[in-house]
Amino acid sequence: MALGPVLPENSLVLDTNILTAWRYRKPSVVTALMDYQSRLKLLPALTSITVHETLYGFENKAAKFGSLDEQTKRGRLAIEQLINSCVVLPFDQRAAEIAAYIIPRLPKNIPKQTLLDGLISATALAHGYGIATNDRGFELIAPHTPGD
Amino acid sequence: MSNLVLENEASVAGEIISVISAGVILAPPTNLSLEISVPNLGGRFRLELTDLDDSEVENGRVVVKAAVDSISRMVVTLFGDSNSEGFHTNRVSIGFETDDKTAESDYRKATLRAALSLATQTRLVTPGLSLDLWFRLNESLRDISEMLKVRQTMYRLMVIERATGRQFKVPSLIVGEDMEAISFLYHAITERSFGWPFEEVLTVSYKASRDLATMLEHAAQSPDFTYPFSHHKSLFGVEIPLGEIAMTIVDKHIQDFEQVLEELKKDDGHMVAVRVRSRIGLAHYGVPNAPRLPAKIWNNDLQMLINMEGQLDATLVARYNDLAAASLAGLNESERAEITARPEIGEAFSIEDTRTERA
Repeated sequence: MALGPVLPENSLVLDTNILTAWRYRKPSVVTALMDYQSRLKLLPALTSITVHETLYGFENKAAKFGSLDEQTKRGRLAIEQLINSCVVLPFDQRAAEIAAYIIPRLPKNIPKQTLLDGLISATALAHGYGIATNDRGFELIAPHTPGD
Repeated sequence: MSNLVLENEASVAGEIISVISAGVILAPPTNLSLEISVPNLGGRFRLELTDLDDSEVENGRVVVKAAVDSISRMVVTLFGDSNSEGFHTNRVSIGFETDDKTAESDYRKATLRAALSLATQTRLVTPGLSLDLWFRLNESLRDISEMLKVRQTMYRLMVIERATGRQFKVPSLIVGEDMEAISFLYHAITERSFGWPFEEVLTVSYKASRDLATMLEHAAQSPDFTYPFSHHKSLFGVEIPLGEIAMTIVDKHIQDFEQVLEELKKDDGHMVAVRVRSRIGLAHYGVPNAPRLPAKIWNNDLQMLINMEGQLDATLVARYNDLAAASLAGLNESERAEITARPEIGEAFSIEDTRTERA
């Protein structure tokens, strides 16, 4: 996996951190998404791993308190609608094979969340997508992908 | 076909249907038009009415067709109740039908459909039929997004057609190779110099000579590798010549460089294969002789559709932004932090004590 410039036709997935920044309406992310839409006429895809991470936040709260309050339920409905409005790349057999290559090669002292980033990377690579991220964890992953 | 939700029931629509329900058989209407205005996008469309089908009015269905162009029609189906006072519309659906597929026709359809789908409200008027109603499409964001992608592809095809003087028959399904060719040709025509993904290995064969060995040693000192060649692209089975191209492989890696040099230095004219790839998967193309666009290529009608692009994109992204923000709306900072916290599943990958797992 190369760390390189984004080309006009590169299809991207959003890393979970970028999706979260989007939900917080971070201006730089909103602007970048508008720019991406202008070029590709599709918003970036999500990986099924990011879908898991995003819904986890709601389910974790529901599991802890037995149910969600009305406001959080509305938030969950909105995120489900957003996910359903995006292309979601599955963690399929090819992604599993790539992840199996990446994970054992990562340094042992990495942050635990880098493992999830490894699964996101594997999914993106399996489907020929690049990753839009601001997470330095992906720099740890890049040298350990098949073909590098 | 999309389902529409009427914002206000148009009593004027009943007036038309009352003529139909009185048993009058209408021939395809002439000199009547369907006027569509999309205020929030600044779009106005005037389509000539081509057909009015009242054969199922007793079942609560009337179909109006209007020409998008000479080969495509917008189909407006009015659903409602027929009674002695006429026909009262309570639901509408909109679809399109076409006799053939061309880039321009598909572009017009995709623009119209995307505009209707992104409009907060649309007014549909046919003065001659006393039809006047407001509606709003209920199309999914994913479908609208795909419409805009089709629109972009058809626009690019139109550009290629105008620049090359050819007209393509557009297949129902455009395969990946043709999609890539459309994008490449579009950038070649409109930019002439552009970056492009380059994941493969370029293989160039040289006759072994000391001069070439020196040249390659010199080239190796640059981070990039430039290779001129004559190029064409195949699109829908048609070869489009692009003339001489300069391809620069960015951040190059020459495979087995030392061995290649040794072979070239043998200076005996045997063929030596040099294999080059980009470490970052990027090449830069200079295509100075790509076909050129004529000065004025779009008529006013098409230009109006082209000018809607920014508004269509911005409106779609705003809808996505609203959904993203709604997922955290009304929550305080700690609640937001709680539901956006990433899970920690590290343990699943690094089981320290296997006895625990067996247990």
